[in-house]
Amino acid sequence: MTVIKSFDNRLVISVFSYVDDLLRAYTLLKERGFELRVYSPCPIPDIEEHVANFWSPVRVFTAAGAVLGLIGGFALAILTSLDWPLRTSAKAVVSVPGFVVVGYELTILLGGLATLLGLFFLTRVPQIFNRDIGYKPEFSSNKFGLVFKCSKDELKDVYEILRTSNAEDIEVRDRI
Amino acid sequence: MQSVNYKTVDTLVLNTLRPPTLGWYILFGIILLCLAVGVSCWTYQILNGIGSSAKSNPVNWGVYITTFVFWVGIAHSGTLISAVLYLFRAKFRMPIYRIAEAMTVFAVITAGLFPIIHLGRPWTFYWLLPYPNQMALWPNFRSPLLWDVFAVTTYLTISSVFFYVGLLPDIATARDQAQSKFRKLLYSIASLGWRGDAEKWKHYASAYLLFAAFATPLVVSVHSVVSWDFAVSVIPGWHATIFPPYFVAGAIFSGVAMVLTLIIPLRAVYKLHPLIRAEHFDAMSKLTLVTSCIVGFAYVTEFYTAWWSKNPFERFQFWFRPTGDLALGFWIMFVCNVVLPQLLWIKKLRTHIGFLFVLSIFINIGMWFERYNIILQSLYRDYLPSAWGHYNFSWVELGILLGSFGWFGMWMMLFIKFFPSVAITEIKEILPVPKRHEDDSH
Amino acid sequence: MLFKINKKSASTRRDFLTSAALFSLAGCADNKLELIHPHFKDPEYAIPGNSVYYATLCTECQAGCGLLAETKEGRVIKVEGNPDHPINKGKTCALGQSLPQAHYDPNRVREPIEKTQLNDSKGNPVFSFNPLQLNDALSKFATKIKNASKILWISKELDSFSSLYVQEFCKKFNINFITYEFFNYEHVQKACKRVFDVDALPEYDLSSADIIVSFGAEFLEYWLNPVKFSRDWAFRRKNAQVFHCQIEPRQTLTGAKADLWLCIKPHTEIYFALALLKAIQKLKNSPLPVEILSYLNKLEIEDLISKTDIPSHFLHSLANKLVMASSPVVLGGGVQARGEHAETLEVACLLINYCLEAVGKTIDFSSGVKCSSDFASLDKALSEFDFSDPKAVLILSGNIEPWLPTRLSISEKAKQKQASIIGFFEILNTTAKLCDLILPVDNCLETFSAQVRGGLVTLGQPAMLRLYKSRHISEYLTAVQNALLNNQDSNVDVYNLFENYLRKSFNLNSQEIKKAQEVGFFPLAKSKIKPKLAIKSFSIGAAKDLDDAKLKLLPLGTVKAWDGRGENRGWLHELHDPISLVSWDCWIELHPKTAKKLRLKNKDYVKLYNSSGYIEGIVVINPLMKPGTVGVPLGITSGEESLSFAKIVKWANANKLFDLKESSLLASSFKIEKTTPRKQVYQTQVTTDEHGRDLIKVKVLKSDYSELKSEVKDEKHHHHGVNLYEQRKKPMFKWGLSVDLAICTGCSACVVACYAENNIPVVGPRIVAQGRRMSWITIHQYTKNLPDNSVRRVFVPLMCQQCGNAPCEPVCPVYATYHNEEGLNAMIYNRCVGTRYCANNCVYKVRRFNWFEYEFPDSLKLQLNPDVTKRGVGVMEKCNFCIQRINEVKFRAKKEGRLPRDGEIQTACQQSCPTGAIVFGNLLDESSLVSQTVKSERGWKLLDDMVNTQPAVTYLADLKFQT
Repeated sequence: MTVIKSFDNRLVISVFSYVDDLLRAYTLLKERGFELRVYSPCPIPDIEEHVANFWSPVRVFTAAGAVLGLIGGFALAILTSLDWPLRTSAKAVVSVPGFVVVGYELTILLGGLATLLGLFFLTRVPQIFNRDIGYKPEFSSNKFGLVFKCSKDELKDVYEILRTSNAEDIEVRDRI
Repeated sequence: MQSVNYKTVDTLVLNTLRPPTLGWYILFGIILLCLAVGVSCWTYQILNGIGSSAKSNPVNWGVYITTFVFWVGIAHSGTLISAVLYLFRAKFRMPIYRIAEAMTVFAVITAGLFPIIHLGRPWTFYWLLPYPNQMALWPNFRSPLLWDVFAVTTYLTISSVFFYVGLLPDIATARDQAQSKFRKLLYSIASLGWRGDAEKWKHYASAYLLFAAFATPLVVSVHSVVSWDFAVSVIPGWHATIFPPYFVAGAIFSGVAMVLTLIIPLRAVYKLHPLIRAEHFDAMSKLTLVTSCIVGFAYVTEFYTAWWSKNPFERFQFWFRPTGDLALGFWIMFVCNVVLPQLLWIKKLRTHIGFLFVLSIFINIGMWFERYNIILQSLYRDYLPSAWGHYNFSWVELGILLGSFGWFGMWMMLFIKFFPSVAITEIKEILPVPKRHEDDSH
Repeated sequence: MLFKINKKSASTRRDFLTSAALFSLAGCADNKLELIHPHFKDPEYAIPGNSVYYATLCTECQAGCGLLAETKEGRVIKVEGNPDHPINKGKTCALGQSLPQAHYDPNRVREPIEKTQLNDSKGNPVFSFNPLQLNDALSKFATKIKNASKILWISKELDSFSSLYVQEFCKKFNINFITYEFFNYEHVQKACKRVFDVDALPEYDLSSADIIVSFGAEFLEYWLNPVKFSRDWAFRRKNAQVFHCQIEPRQTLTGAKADLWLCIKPHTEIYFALALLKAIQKLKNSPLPVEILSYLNKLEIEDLISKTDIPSHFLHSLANKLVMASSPVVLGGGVQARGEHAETLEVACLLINYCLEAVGKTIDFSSGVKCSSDFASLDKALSEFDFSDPKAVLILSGNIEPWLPTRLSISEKAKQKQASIIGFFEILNTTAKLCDLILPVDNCLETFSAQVRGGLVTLGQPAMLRLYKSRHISEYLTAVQNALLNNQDSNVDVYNLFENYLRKSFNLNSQEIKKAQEVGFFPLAKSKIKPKLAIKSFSIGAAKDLDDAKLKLLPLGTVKAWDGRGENRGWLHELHDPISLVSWDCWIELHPKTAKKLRLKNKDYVKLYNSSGYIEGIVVINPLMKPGTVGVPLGITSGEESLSFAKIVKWANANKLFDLKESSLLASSFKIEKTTPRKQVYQTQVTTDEHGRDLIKVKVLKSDYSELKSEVKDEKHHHHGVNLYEQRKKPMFKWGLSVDLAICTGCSACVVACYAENNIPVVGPRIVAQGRRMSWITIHQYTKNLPDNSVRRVFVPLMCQQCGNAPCEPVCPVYATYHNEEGLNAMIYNRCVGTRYCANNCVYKVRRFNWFEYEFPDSLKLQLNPDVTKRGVGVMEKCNFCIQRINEVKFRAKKEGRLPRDGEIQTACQQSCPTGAIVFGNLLDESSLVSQTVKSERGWKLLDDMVNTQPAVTYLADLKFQT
């Protein structure tokens, strides 16, 4: 059954200029159990609460990086000082107050870099050249996109739904 | 913001990426000329010896360190505006923060050159980095200069990352509307293939928040660390606990001034009036005024502590500053940083573009002289009167100072032409979300 | 130490004989080229890297100090005093320290030179100096002598070895031989002749004197026998056992050290002296000849004193002090006192000493040193000498020309001359340039010499092979003699000549000679002279030239230039004069009032000129001089052209301003006018005022030293109670230094010694003016107003203080400076990246930075000390307590399985210090001298109470009796 279904899969790309339309369409289609992707020119709270209502794990990366930086910073300062102990004026070889700066800066440095990695990892960038079919340039400008897959025989009532929630443009691609 | 909607934002901003006009080329030419002067001066200095700068014993630091601190200071407001104000959800940051961040990154790049230019043996600068070597030689982590190395590099990295992440969706927008093949390719690569679906936005938002949270302490730390170069020493006029807050305030002060200096012409040239409006200038003016008052207060406090300490060296130093050989520098600083900004109490002037532009330039000059005062005056007259010295600028130093502006300007000009210098996405965020029944309602 | 030298110089002889064999003049032929390079085959005694010391003699002045020339790999790198020598006991003056630069002077005459005059297109004469073969030169010389109608020889003071042969030669060929020195003691000697009928200069013994009155005699700088005097004076001074009064128009270094400094009107010293004589005679009623007594009775103390501008109560208190004293001494006049009465002043002083029964006690005439300088006959001979006579010959040795008054100037007379001028010169200087034929003579470090003084004969011997094709003067003369009187037998090798000299004059056998050379000197049987009063009467003419209306020109002597013979030594140029603080340039000193009258201010650039000469220099305002006088330094090169090191420099014109008569230095009227200022001003200190910071301590004593001991010491100076940081345990050594400001005379010998020891580059006037001088130790000057409302100049030798809690160390990002286990503030030159933070953070500003790559002029490279690295551009450097010397001794001690003895390690500055003001040693060794001195009740640490730097250097407060 699924095998056959997979033959006549279609990709529906619908374009909206209003968020409320988009969300209406989204809820209706969601009930039908479609897997939907929503594009918007910028993060929009309403969309977020309906569509992406989950806990982003980026901060885990951040925390890991920060801790690593903190430990690494102090380790670097202390161990290198002990590696070849030289006295300067009356200061102790391991003068912690001074090393706090190093620890502090490295915490921030590694924390920040880890966050970047986390973001890249979770959002799957960079993906420069594998074309994501189902994306339209205007999505980054002033239009909202609702993209999902459906089978040939579902198309009819999908159209229905989209039209009622007045999508401006509906494009159906049969190659995936 | 009824006049503006998503589309107009795009057109307004992307308009700046149009092929450069003759004016741009002329300005760019001048800037490159300055850079050339700087480069040749530095080459001369390297060949002839660091003695070609006017420094001597006891005035071992001079224009270079002054300029270093100056640029680091400039670099501050960028992160302040983008990170701190972001956390405070201050809306007025939206149109200006991109240019501020660009300024930050380029200012740090510029500042970073000066410690190297200043070295007696610049070709050995990498000895300051902790890299493993067979001689088991490591740098001295007790030295404020090494703290500088860490603080500045961290600041550069984090602010660049923050800058770039903020830029990503805008580059994507630029990509989607690029006409020429070259730009299409450029932006596709630069945007890393970013496409804003809901989940990505989710991660993006939380990541951005985290960056902001990380960059904020940097705003405080970097210039504090820089101030320790002086505060940790024993020189009268340097050895003061007030330095970190005083330096940070000064940095923000000079930074905001520099933002004004940059954004006013930009706005005029590219007709960004709908985006950058009076209320933004008003807000920035207020920020300037506040920081100016803090700085002024710090100046006074310095004098007070010197007097209160009963320390003859401190007292002499602070008597010397306004009255001694270098008094001119002191008064330039005082007038530009404390007196002139007081005019901003007048509401009209806070939004008077012309005035703000001139004022911002004065503040830049004033802030350069603040560092000049701290560094030169103190070294000029320290403990042993028999060891006092003198200092007069050399053309090499001034050439390199000019060059630094060329270097900074070059990056700025290129950036403006190649990347959206106003944040498209974030402005859209603060625009009302387009909804049908709202549109029907009127 | 002594044993070491013996061992060394034992081999010295062997080494010497080989070298002597090398350069023996086979029939004056000179065909082989000699090159100086490190031994390619080391002599068995010479361990590479170990110094070999040669005991020799300093011929810079007549004091006759014994030297040790330190050589490494066959080249002289430093000279130090010979510690066993009775006169200087291992010490030297700045001039002596600079000898190596004279030896390696780039302007040495490298071979015989003949000057030929050509005419250029416009017909102006142009001179070309062409080298000659030695034998050609000699034959030219011989023929000139043979055909000469009349020969005049003018020479500087020669050492007794050379002078013996010169005298002989002159007798043989009836040459009129005249000696002349600019800084001569003719008047002193004449006075001695008149008063006691002795034909010698007096030798003073200050080691027992309890009161010294000096009429401007710079006995701590260059007067007669400065190094010895300094040592003796310091010996008494340390414990305030001597009261020193200096009477002069402008304060000299010596005056700065005086307890009572009286500013007298120029050239009126004689009146004060007479008044003093009369007062003392009254008090002691000593038996003076009748005429003198009657003459004194004629004089009125009050009106004598009134001429001098000194309140008379000073005179009376001084007279009383002198009479009360157990061993007083009155010293004669210095350079400033060389007025028309110079000689009479000396007479008066000798009479005072006689009245005080000082003669035979603190004054002694048996030292056997004479002043052969004779201006009168020079004047006569030169004015009579007929330059138009083609057969007349003028022989010159020593740089005479700049010392001659304009009316006698040879260069003037020689313009259209026919007569020929022959010269014996080390350096191609102003006088040498006048000669038609120049014969290069040896420097005193590469040949033999001898000096008779203080009951000693001090011997000089070569410390290394000759650098160039130079010869000793005696070799030339004997060779010529042989050629002319064709006697082939006698050997013209300098060593034989020297032996002959010793045999003839002191009949020593070769054994004794050998021994004498090992030690560097041998004693003479001293004939104790009991001088009797020979003078019958004396008087002075009516007072001339005492009107205050017109300005008076004061000749000033300096430790850096003396009479100017250090003309081309960078070390001396770079030195700043401790009083005017001017380095490289010439200057003009004015009292504030005078300056106001002339509408001049400090650092104005002026030209001072009169009929006979001119100088250019900066105005230096000096409150410690008589208003209405203008001080000009003698022997300092002046004008742009002179400000070049290792080039021919123009001689000081200040000498020329004065019209010499006998021994008087008086200037005809002169003018001062502003000229175009030079870009930079070579004054090394911005201010000498303390600006209300009590930095430098001066103890003013009421009665005697004991009152200091009773003083409770201020605990503030000790931080041992409180310390935030854990204290480091130092294994064996904590090197420390103490500097006694009471006996630091600012003579600057330490500074030059440091330059020599540590390869410190001479950077030249412009860079000095930029405040980039490299000297590791500098003499700082402070002017303090004391509670007894007197003004005191204090000289502070400032070197790295090796702080225990050094501000410079923690700020270095790359550990280029750190604290080593022996408490030293170590420098790692090749790790330094040049952030200069350390220099900023140094409280004493004693760190020096290489702003440029400094090159050493070629021949001077030979002087560099191989134990010390040369620092490149962009690197910080500073004093490190001569760590190379510390290590040398430590290693030696280790080999011998012992600890270094106290005093075995000597820093270069300490070694040279004539007064022993600098003491170095191990602070952890309770018995060491330094741990004693730092405990002194005068001790304090500079700025320690303010900045808690805990320096390893302790300064001992200056001392002064209340007046």
